[in-house]
Amino acid sequence: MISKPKRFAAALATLCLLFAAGATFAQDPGDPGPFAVVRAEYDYGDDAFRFSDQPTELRAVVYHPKDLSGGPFPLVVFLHGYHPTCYLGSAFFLQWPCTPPREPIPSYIGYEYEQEILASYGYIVTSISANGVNARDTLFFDQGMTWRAALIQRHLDQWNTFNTEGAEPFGKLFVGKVDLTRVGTMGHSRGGGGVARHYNYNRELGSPYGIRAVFPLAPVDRLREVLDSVNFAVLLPYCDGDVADLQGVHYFDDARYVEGDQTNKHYVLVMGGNHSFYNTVWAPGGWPAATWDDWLQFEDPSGSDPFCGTGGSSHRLTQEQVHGTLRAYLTGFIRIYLGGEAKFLPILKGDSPPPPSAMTSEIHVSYHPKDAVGSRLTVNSLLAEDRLSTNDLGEPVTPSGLDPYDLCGGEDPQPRHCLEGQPTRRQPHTTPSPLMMKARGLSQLRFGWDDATAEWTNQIPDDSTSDVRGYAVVQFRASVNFNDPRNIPDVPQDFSVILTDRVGNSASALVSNNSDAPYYPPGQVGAVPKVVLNTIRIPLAQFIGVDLSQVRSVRIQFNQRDTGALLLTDLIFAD
Amino acid sequence: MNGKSKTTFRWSSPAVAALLITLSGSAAMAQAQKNSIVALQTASSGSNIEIVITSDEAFLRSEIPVLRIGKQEIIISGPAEDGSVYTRVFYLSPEQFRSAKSGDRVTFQYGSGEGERQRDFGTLDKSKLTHSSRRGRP
Repeated sequence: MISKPKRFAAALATLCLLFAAGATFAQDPGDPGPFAVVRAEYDYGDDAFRFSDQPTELRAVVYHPKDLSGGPFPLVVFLHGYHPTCYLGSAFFLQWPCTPPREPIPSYIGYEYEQEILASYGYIVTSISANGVNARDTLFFDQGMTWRAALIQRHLDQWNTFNTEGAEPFGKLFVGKVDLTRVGTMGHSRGGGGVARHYNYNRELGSPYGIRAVFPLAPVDRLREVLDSVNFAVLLPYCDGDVADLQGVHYFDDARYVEGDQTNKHYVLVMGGNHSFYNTVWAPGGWPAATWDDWLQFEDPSGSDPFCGTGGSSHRLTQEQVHGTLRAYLTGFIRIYLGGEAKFLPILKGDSPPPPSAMTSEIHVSYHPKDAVGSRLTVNSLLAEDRLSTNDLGEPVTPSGLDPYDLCGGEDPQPRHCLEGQPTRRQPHTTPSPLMMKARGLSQLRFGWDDATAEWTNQIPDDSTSDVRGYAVVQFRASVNFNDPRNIPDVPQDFSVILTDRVGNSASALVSNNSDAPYYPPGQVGAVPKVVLNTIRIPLAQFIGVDLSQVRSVRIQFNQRDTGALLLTDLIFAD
Repeated sequence: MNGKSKTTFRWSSPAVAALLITLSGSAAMAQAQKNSIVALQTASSGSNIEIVITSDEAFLRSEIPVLRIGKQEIIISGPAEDGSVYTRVFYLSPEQFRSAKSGDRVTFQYGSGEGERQRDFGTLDKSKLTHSSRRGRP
């Protein structure tokens, strides 16, 4: 039991933290920056690059600071996704090069709204065309991912030429102005798979370019590429009607526990966001042909879903809002990891609410810190069966009143999926790829309770490990299991996190005071509802009266609802 | 749906039309969806077998196009030579074709997920195999 003074102190601490978080509104990474910006293009033709004898264009639109005297500037490469490649009137086609009088559909110019913002902060941002890849990528077993990687590398080689000797159409403009040791990539959809493949492709070539930040946007993950040793963030639109299974969450899940990895991982779940609106050329009205709202096109033609559909009370985002989410989170991500502006980390950790440039507050951010003392102390990874009884610190794990209490989604003998009878696209963490059918998904603790005395306790060793003063939060990822009737539809879950120290002092923090992640997954049609395990972070400062130098247990007490069921993983202390 | 291609499909000649595989079982549903297997042929180069399918619903999604023949999943595919987004050519290895049986159900879906919406293309008739003059996959 926590005394009233302690409760008051905890509430005061919470208020202070909220105030501090609110103060970060002043730092909006998506606001226009100080540099005047210039737009340019380069185009070496439809057959300027060949991969396995397949014609590919070498074409891009570039935004860069008008005044390059402060260079060299970091380079950011954008790669669009799969889309028809040619059009004639309102008809569209998949071929390359386009048969005259058909003309190319310029998917690569679809992100200029974001290129311009990034360039205004001193980045050279090039968005490359990949129609040649789109026309024939599925002829290759890896579905064109290595082709995409090779195309990015070819553009980086071109930028190396611009930076060293100069070349047309720019002449000497960029000589000495491009920092190819600080390169970021953003790929949308199949382009997201492309930038993931490219990170490892560049590494396989001996890392001729310094890829420091990778941002897959609504990506496919066909090869289960592991992105260790690079900071990355995945953006997942909840109402994605194209890559509707949000398979890109695998990038995060697969890269969490690579030993010694000194880079951070994030994902950003955009509630109400769809797939095609991120590219202005793909969105309705953006081009004479081949435009659509993917949610309505592929998942819900009548727009009837209460959350993603078109009804008056739906939560679907406008195109402008969708752009806002990229402007806020991609710009913030790049400015952190290429620009060294750590002041934006609270946004990418979920400690600060979405900045105004995001144009929506319905965003959930998940974060997994690098493998370093002071950044991450893993209490229970829940990776394998023995973690049900013994945690990563070698200490007992004790369930009480939990039924079921098992792991799902991970390696054998775990069941492949966690929600029996639900389509896999409603279970992103375990959705399969036809190319990697044997690859399992995220190992998750699956449990429920039937009265409010249930709890789950992880002990901490009675040694130096118990000193968690060097960490900022205790955190985990969780989702309400909508497949379990013990959760009340449309009612969020709530529960308490309790820390206890060596002499028995305890303090409790209510999840609902810190996070809205345990929402009841919304939607009823097609790919929704779906379970996405979002990070819940509880600042250690809230555990007033507990000696943080001697923490002996982390207890999660399911004391706020009589019944419920959750999926949970990654119990850690974090920075 | 935006602008459907009006271009004549290359395989719509009488000779190829004779290769149409008879739909069975859910023929009514298949007709309603206007899905059909247009050709079953060996590639002019290489030893792959091509199955050409058409649908009145364009093949547009970013997820992997997967043709299921019985229990097999065929994931190597390409567009029609005329660029029609309503046609898809799937490539079977000789082993995959040997494993397939006449009468196997042919369906299309995106990805390998369970519970995905499938398009029914009827059943396979291996006796309809013919030789193509079309350029094969790279």
